[in-house]
Amino acid sequence: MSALTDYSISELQRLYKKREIGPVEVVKAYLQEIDLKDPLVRAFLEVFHESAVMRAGELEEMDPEGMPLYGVPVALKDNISVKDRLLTCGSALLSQYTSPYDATVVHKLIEAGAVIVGKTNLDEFAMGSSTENSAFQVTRNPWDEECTPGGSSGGSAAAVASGMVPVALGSDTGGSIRQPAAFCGITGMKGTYGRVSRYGLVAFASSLDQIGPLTRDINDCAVVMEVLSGHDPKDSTTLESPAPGLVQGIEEGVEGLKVAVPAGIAGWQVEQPIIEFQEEAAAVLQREGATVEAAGLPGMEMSIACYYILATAEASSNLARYDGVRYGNRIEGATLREMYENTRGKGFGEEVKRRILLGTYVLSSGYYDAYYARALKVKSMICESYRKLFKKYDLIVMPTTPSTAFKIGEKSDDPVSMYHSDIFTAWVNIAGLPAVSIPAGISAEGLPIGIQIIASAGEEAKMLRAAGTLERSFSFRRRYLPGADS
Amino acid sequence: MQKRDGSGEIVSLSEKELEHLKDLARIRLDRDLREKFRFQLDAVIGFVAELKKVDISKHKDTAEMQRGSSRLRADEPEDSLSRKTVLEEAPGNNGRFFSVPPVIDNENE
Repeated sequence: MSALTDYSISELQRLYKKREIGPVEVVKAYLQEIDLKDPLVRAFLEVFHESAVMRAGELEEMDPEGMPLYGVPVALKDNISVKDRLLTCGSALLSQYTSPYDATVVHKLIEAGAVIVGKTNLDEFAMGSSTENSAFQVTRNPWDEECTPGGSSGGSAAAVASGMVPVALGSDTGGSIRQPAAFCGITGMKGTYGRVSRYGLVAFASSLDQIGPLTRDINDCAVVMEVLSGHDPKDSTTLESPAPGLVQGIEEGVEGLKVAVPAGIAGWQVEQPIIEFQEEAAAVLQREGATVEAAGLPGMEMSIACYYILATAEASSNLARYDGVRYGNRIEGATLREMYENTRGKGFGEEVKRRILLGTYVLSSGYYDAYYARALKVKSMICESYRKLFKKYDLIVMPTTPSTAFKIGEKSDDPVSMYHSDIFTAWVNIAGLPAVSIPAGISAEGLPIGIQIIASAGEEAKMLRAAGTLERSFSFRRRYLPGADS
Repeated sequence: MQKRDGSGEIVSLSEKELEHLKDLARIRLDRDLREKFRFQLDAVIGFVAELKKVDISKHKDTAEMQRGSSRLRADEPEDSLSRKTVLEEAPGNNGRFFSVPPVIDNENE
């Protein structure tokens, strides 16, 4: 690994400003890492070799001042629109679709000086927890090539974890940023629902989707999150309140914060090493001046069922647009209806078809009240109970996932077991809360373990105070990466 | 369609039900996929039916409104994508319109 690809965002900025290094050499160094490592990891669907170097060259003529991501290479999950670039969503149906516009987050990244270096693999339309549902390729976990990187933002997580980019964006509907971040030993964050604009993100379940960063550490995460956040007239669900400053708080510590940890966590079939790191996290926070108490987390049991009803219902509606008429590939038929059925039957992969059918089922006549309407009520109950819980506590700290990365193929034919791996993450999206997963340590098998910090709506800054404290104590990169990288 | 509930009763998605769902969703399912899906969807439906155990009788709200947000922007026209740009992505077009197979002489419609 060349030193140029080791720098954090703030180190890069310092060196750029002193003109000790320039964006072209840094971008070229990262592209070299991609060329070297991606044939095995297979995180990227497309690499923008030429345009990335060209953009870096343009940046060299510009003043880095006021550009927080000046010369920082960024990869994007391939459900985020970049003008005139393929936007496949990991789907055969969109294998040739080119986006005619930029997502708001892409605008913001470019304005901040970032260099977009490519598009990363994902579960088709972000539906999955392993990135195995991509129509194009299977991405491997950089820690163990027989394991999945998690999903659905598995390409983004694997790209950051293997040092091919310092930053990647993902999208999180039920854990799709945090779970792959945990599986790959990196940091991944989703903001409060509405914190980041969804304009230009291909919709899966609009009431749950949020874009967020995957990075190597919490400071990089905060810098990128500050750039991405803010109201967008093109997404009426974005929050109007100004985006909080996040970087500063990382050093503030947790003195005086009240933290809840889940009571009876062993009852959720959590692997033992994960429980141990959870206990260590609680001890660290207490030692650093926070009050830590065990609390029952309401609605965890029902959250997965609730999530899979709401998410598939919205997906069945959102994905109705892929009908072979306006965009994407078409499979001809003798009639319009036959064309629709052929296009969608051949164009969508199995998991997407399963979810559309489930979503159709829960919305169909005779079942709507029993499933969809009921799930909306349960969502409302979950939101209310967490508003109450957060009157008593500032933060919840818990594992991101009940297990470490699972093997490729292990769960691909068992949807219910796959869905269960979202148990600790999906409720956070239902409640619309911000959450961040940070790497805590590794298991005996050498697989990373993630700890998740959740705050009440709008309290991202508080959340990052705890994340910073835990990161300093776990020292994950210093402890585990030199060996893993060599 | 047969009634189902999540209270431990063995549920099974009938072929007819799956047929109805795939028609509603406009998805062609190859024969070999149908059996697999019937089994898998049945398991998933049984799993999400767990929600029926939750007592919602005392809860009135059906939707969670987002707090302090959701403002519509001013209704001012802005530049939009050109017809040419949009049609370029369409699999069937005649340069002016999207083109599709016959709509009217279709017994199924």
